[in-house]
Amino acid sequence: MSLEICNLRKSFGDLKVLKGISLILEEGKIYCLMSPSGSGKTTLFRILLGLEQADEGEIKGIQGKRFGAVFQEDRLCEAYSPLDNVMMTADRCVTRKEAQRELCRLLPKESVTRPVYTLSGGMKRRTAICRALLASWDILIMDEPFTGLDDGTRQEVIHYIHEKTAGKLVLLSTHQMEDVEALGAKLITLQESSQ
Amino acid sequence: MKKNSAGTWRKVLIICLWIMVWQLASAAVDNPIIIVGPWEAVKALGSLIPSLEFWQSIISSFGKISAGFLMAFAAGLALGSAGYCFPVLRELLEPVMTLLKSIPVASFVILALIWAGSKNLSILIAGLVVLPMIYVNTLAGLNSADKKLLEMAGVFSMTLWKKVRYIYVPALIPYLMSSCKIALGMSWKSGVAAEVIGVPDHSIGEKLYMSKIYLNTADLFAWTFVIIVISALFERMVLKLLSCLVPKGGAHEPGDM
Repeated sequence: MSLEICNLRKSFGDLKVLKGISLILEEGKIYCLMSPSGSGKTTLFRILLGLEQADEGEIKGIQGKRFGAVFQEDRLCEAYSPLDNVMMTADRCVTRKEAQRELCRLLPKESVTRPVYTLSGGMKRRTAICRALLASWDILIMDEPFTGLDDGTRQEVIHYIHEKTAGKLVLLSTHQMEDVEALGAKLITLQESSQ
Repeated sequence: MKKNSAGTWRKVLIICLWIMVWQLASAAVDNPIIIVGPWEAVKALGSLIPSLEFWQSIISSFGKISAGFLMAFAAGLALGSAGYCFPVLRELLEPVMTLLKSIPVASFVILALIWAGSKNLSILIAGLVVLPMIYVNTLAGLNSADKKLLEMAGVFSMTLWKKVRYIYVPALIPYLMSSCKIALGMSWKSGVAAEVIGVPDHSIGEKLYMSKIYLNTADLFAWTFVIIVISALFERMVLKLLSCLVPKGGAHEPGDM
């Protein structure tokens, strides 16, 4: 089942952020949204996640769907470990042991149980990605998920995302064309999607 | 480690300096009714410690004042949480809390004496002083919960229990800790003041009142020292318990977030 965004508009005061976005997103595909900063990617994501109301337009096929998200900021509980953060939102069938094993694929083993505030920016980002992937969701939204990751780690994370999102709808934003290619994703730009 | 022991020595030296000032002041005044020296106060305390009445008074006052504090703490926490969830209740409680904060303790004590008698006066007074402080800080703490984390929790459909445990409690604890530091001291000050006015049997307040009647300043100083020690121990115990509720590094002072 696909997600259809029809003529979505959003303004903040006089500033028109979304000028009639229309998109059809099919299940089982990864979509990369590439647009300059300030073009409304995050606003679109926030509307999809139900955190903002659109001024106009409609989103079809969203009812009853569960969302997972990697926000632009990591939004982790800093005093708790990456393992605790993952378990806070993890699917009920994910055990602590499984979560630990999954985290160890993205993070050094010793960092999995350390408080998040002791981790580097890149480690926090990978924790946020792992948290989203281990939660139960039908549609995954990732707002610039590779920020702060070096090339090697980025490839590992892309491989991990590929593995964990197979058959599901993923919408992510990035500024790198290589990410689109590595993910085998369909590229969309907000300018092209605007009416 | 070296820095720590230097700091401890510094504190000890400062305390010794003030004890010396106290001794010099008592020697200069040379009137044991107006001021007694540290040695006389220690001697008075030494003579009080072996008596059963001393321990009875401590247990009775400690039990009542701490019960008043704990009941008000629980009520403030519950009402503050309810006020956070239901704005109508918050508006309804606002004038009551403002009133409780502004009424002088002495007025409370006299009213409470008329309504409830002197036996449980200190429970009521300590509670009435603590309640608005805990209520206001509970509201402030819950309002300081990170909005971005709450959005995240909403997107991932986190349960209420998990939201409370991982987002609200870490936000609330620093506010509760700083309000408890003040509220604990205030509960002892107001509780003992209420006992001095109500003079219930076997209480610290009664002993302070008797010291006044017999102009026994040495006993007054000894009992004051006892109140300071009990209040400090109780404060440490409560703050330790509160700090156990959040993981290390999870508690920041209000305004850090």
